[in-house]
Amino acid sequence: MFKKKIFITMLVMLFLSLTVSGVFAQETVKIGTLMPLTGGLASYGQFTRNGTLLAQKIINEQGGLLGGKELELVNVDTQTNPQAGVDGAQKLVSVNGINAIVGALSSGVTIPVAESVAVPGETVLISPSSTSPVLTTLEDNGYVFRTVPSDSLQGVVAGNLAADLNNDKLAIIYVNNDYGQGLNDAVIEQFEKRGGEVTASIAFEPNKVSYRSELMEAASENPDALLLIAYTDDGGITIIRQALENGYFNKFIFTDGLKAPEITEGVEQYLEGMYGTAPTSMPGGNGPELFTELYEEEFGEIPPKPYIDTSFDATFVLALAIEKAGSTEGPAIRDAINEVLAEDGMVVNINEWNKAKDLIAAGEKIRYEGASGPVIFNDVGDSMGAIGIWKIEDGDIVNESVEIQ
Amino acid sequence: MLKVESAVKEFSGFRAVDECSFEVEKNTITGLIGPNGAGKTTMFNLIAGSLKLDQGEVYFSEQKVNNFAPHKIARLGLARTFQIPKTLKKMTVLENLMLVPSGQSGENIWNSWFRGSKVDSEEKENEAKAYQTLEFLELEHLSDEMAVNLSGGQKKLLELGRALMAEPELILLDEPGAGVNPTLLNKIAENIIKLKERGKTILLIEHNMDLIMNICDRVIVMNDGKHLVEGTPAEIKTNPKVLEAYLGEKTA
Amino acid sequence: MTLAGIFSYLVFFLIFVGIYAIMTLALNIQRGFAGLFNIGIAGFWAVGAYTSAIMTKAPSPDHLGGFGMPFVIGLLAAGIVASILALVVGIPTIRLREDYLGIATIGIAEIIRLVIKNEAWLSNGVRGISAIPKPLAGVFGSNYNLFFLLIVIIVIAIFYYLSEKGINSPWGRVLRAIREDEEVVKAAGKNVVRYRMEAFILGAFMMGVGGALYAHFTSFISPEAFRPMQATFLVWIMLIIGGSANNFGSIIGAFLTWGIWTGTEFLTGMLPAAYTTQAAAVRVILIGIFLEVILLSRPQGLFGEKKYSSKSTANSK
Ligand SMILES: Nc1ncnc2c1ncn2[C@@H]1O[C@H](COP(=O)(O)OP(=O)(O)O)[C@@H](O)[C@H]1O
Ligand SMILES: [Mg+2]
Repeated sequence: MFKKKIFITMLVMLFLSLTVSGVFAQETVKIGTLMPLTGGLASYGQFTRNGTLLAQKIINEQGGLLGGKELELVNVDTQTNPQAGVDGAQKLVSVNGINAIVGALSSGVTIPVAESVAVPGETVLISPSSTSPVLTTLEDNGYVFRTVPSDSLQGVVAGNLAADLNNDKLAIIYVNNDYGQGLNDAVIEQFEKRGGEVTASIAFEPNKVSYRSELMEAASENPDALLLIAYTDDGGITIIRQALENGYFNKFIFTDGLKAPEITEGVEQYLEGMYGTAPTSMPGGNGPELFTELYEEEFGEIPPKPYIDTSFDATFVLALAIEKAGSTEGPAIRDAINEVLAEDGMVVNINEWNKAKDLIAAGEKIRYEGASGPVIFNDVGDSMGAIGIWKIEDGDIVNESVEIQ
Repeated sequence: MLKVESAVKEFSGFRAVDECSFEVEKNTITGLIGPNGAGKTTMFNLIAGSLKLDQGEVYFSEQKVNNFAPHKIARLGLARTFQIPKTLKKMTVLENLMLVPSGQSGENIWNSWFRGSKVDSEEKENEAKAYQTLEFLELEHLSDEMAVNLSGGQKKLLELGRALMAEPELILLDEPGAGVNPTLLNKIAENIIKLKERGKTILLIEHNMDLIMNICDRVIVMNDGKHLVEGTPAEIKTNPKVLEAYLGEKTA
Repeated sequence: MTLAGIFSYLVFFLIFVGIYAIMTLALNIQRGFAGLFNIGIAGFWAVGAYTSAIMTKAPSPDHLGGFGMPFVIGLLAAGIVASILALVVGIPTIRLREDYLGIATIGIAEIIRLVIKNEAWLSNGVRGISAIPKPLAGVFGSNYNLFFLLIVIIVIAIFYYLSEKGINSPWGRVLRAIREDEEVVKAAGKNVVRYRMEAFILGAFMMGVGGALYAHFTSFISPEAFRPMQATFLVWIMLIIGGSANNFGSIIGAFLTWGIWTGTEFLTGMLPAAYTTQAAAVRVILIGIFLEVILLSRPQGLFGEKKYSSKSTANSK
């Protein structure tokens, strides 16, 4: 028994030494990043992490922040899993002494991190990709932001679109995940507000061979149109084909996952004139183009994956707020975000960190024309978003108009 | 006490027990003998519920117990030993015995948590009883030994000990004497008689003919899964059929 | 980095270790003591978490309830519902060969995940349940986690005590005997199925309570938290590392395994930023190596099987 005790003590010491040696004090300003490098979203995390690294590079090349200190990014792998993500976030806050974090990607990790670490630990959390409507209503004392709009935003626009196209009865089929469900709920709410009736709202599991039973159920009360919330590669195309083949529907409204020319292949004449929605960057500035250029200079070709730009923006915004606050304390950073950003402020591009510092020093407000477009938060910390409406013309996708929410 | 009617047990077409019937009177010692492979152990397993009957009936104390779960039959007052000793290997000899008595209140987890004193006092009695049994079997020096470390003969004794701990009405003993030294065998015989004096009923498989002849009231002979003959030890001793059965075995 | 910071992380770390230790103690009753093959821990974890969340949350339009019950009621309900689940899974399978129970548990865990995902009226579906109340939130200010750790330790202490008491009692003696040789136990008139079932239910109860603690601590649960990797297999690793049939080993196994799981993050975190993606892979390999080393040097787990004995209770007074 005595030997065992010594053994355990040694293990505890080993663990502590790991904890202690992992970090070394330096005169830097630290921002944490919570990116999945393993697990389900690993293929995204690698690139969103690059987004944050690019922001770090620009800031450090232009003299760092808080009077010349370097910006240091400390990443923790969330493993795309809430248990590991929450643990990692707490490590950032407690061990690394960080009060500003970019992350996490999936809402299933971001929300528990917010509730059990960021909010009680007075740490600002900006997610570059969590689109769950739950984040909007979280009681977060103002610590939680995101540089993407909520799924419900597109839902509102899609609901309006359906009503504007003179549909009285609408059926919805949506992919069974939090994205699909969030959109679905928002569409229903908006469409009913406009006086319409949703006759069916059916979730589908991805990649089945046949969706005829879902379609039959959706068509059962003779709705005017089908609003399809899906991706091209998870069954969306199959659903469109089978709906047309069996004559369940001839009128469709699509969402962003189906904004791709391949949905029309072979069925061009049937889909001609159909409409869809998709989030787009806020109009103004040339952030997206500039970002692509800078990214490819640094890392090579930019992959067609989302949230790389929003990760850049989240990092940049945190740096702006730290500079404005003149401190790395959580509450100060939180307050500074809304103090420094303004729609009608002085324009700062993503490679103009020096200019931003000068403006902050001069007490000016900043209109940050970010990598994903101008970044402006509403009063619950959600990024204002723009939803584009698109149309199928001659088998091609054409952008029609943009709605800002 | 025990009645078996036309019991049949087949193992993939082979009849190990074939239309076998017999009765065991209350408060007797009955020997069950027969050459190796006659089906005696299989018959025990059928009675104790360890194997399911293919045909036939088993009555225990007037009650039909066909295909009762083994623990249910055990609770009706039947204890058995195994021919090839089964021991709880990584438990002590004492624990092997203390396991057995039924109705221990500490077997209910709730009691073991919240009625500690009652459970403890029962455990003390149980332990004392187990020690008595060990003393009788002359195993008390091994009480804290893991059962896995016992010799073959000691394991047989432990089997017997477990059967004794159950305080059953009917005891099925499958070759209790195999591998046991002669002194101890005598003691076992004495104790079997004592059990009978206390009103118990014993059904005994044994190859040691002296033991069978000395203590049994009646003897049943099985051969090829069938009930061959039965009678008093003296009758059996001289029955030509029995000799033939055993000789047949030897020459086969 | 400050001492206070390290301390606060340590508290946080220990809360997670504690929750996992509860799971491991529970699995130890099922696997270590009763030889039951439960590879659906995630299911019991999820049921406990959701039950307590629904019981204790303020009424919400998003899901069933909430019923605004006190924290302790939530924990008990979580344990009870998980136990009922164990009963339902166990009745048809527990008398069969052990792999049937294994298959049944893995199946039920998946079914539960699908129900949680799809039955939005019950669980708010894939969006999960947020704002799960933390007991006595606000009373302890920045020391809150220390208080929560205390709750976790109390729960562990109770479960540890009950498990030790149980396994050293006549009940535990029957259970250990079943693992050795069922036939002997049956011949002694014990209902083997009953004891197995009791151990299965007891373990499930503890898993349910552990799940509830997880839900209250993170304040948010969604189907993502109940994947087999973190919720089932990690617990098995903890049990194997600590040593099956050893309650103390179970707790140490949880501590060590979670320590390795998260501690390797510190090691790889020291690498330059350019290597982070590789570091993540290295981390997984490191975890594997650590576990491998432990298992090669101590195949029985760190502590091996403890010699439990009913005599230890009988002679203690
Ligand atoms: N489980 C079993 N499967 C197949 N055959 C068996 C089994 N048990 C016993 N037997 C066969 O049944 C016959 C009777 O065996 P048994 O009852 O052990 O005989 P005894 O105890 O009289 O020596 C033997 O031929 C034996 O090989
Ligand atoms: Mg035999």
